[in-house]
Amino acid sequence: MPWYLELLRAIAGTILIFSGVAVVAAMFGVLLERKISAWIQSRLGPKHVGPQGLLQTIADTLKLLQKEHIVPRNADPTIFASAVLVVPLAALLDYVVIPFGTAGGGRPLIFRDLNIGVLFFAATSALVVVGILMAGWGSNNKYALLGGLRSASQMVSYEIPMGLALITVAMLAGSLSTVKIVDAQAHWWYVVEQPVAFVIFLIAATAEVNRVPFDLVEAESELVAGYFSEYTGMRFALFQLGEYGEMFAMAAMAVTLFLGGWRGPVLPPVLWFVIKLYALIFVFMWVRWTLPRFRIDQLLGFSWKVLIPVALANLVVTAYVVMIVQR
Amino acid sequence: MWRSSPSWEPAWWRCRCWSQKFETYESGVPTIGQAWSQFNVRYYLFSLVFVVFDVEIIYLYPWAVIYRNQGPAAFYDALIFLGILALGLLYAWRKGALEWV
Repeated sequence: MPWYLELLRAIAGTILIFSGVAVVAAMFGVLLERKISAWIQSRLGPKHVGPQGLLQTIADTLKLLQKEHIVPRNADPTIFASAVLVVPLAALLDYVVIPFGTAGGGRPLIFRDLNIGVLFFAATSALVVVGILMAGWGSNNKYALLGGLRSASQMVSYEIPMGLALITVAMLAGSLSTVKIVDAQAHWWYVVEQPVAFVIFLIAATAEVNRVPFDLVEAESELVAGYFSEYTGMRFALFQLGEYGEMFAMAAMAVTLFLGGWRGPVLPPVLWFVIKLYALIFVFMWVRWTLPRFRIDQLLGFSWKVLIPVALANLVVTAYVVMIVQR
Repeated sequence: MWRSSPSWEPAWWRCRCWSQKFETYESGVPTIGQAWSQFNVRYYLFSLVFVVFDVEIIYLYPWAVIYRNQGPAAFYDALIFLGILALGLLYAWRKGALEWV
C-alpha cells in the first residue's frame, strides 16, 4: 500500500476513534456519572434536557463551546494552551490497541493489532501525567501546581503495580498483543486465574485516572479543581474528555486482559464487550461514593508498601506455577 | 489583554476585559506572588526508586513473553533478578525513603 493511502487510513481511523468511540463514551460517561451519583444519594440527577435528561451533556458541551477562553496574565501561554492537547490525545491513543469485538469471519475489530499492545497501552496511559504537569505548571496557580505535582507522584507510584499486573497476564498468554491475550482466554477468563492481579490493576487504574479515593489531584474541597482550575470553556471540556476517555480506556483494558474481552455466549461480541465495559465503569462510580479520599502519604505508602510487594509476590508465584504446570 | 479572544470571534465582538479577569484564581482574594517559587517537592526519593522499578519492569516484559517455552532456568534467573530488587525496596523502606518527609 502506498504511504499516502496508509496515512489517509490512519487519519480516518483516528477521526473514527475520536468521534465514534471516545467522545460519545466520554459524553455518555459524564451523564452516567451524574445519574449514578444521584441514584446512590437518593436524588434524581439531570432530568430536564431531553427525555430523562439524556441530552444534558450535549447541552453542557454546547454551552462550554460558546464560552470565552481566558488565559491568566501570569500564566505561561504556550504551555497553558498546549497542555489541553496532551491529555485527551494520550487518552485517545489508548484506544488504538483495544479489541472491541469481531468483524465478519472472526477478524478482530481493532484499530492496530500491535505485537507490543500491552506495552503501548502502558506507555500511552502514562503520557497523561505530562499533560497534567504542563497544565499545573503553566497555569502559575498555586492550586494547579499542587495538583500537578501530586499527580506526578501518584501516577509514578501506581504505574509500577499496574505494570507488574500487566506482566503477569502477558506471561500467562505468552504475548503482548491484546488480540492474542483475548484469544488465550477462550477457556478461562484471566480473572479466575489471576484475581490478585485483577484487583491490583483495578486499584492502580483508579489511581491513574485520578478518581476517588485517589482524587488528590483535583480534590475539590482543598484544591478547587486541581490542575485545571484556570481553564475555561472548551479547554475545560477537553480536560474532562481526556479524563473520561482515560477512564473508559482503563476499563476497556481491564475487560480485555481479565474479563475475556469480547468473548461471551449468544450475544454479539461487541455487545458483550460493551456490557463488561459498563459493568466496570459502574464499579468505578460505585467506589467513588463508597470510599473517602486518601491522605497523600497514605496514598503513596499504600502503593509502595502494599501493592508493589503483593504484585511482586503474585508475579513470582504465577511464574512458579506456570513452570510446574509446564513440567 | 486581548489574548482571551477565541480565533473564530467575529470583529464586532468586543472582549469584555477588565483587569481582574486575568488575575490568577486564589479563592477570590487578590493573588499573592507567583506560584513558581521555592517549593518543597516531598517525594523525590519516590521518584528515584520509581526509576529503578520502571526499568525493571521494562526488562521483565520480554522475559514474560517468552517465559512459557523456557525451562526452569528462566524462573530462577528472574527470581535472582527480582530478589535483588526486592532487597533494594526493603533497603529503601528500612532507610525511611518511603516515608513522607
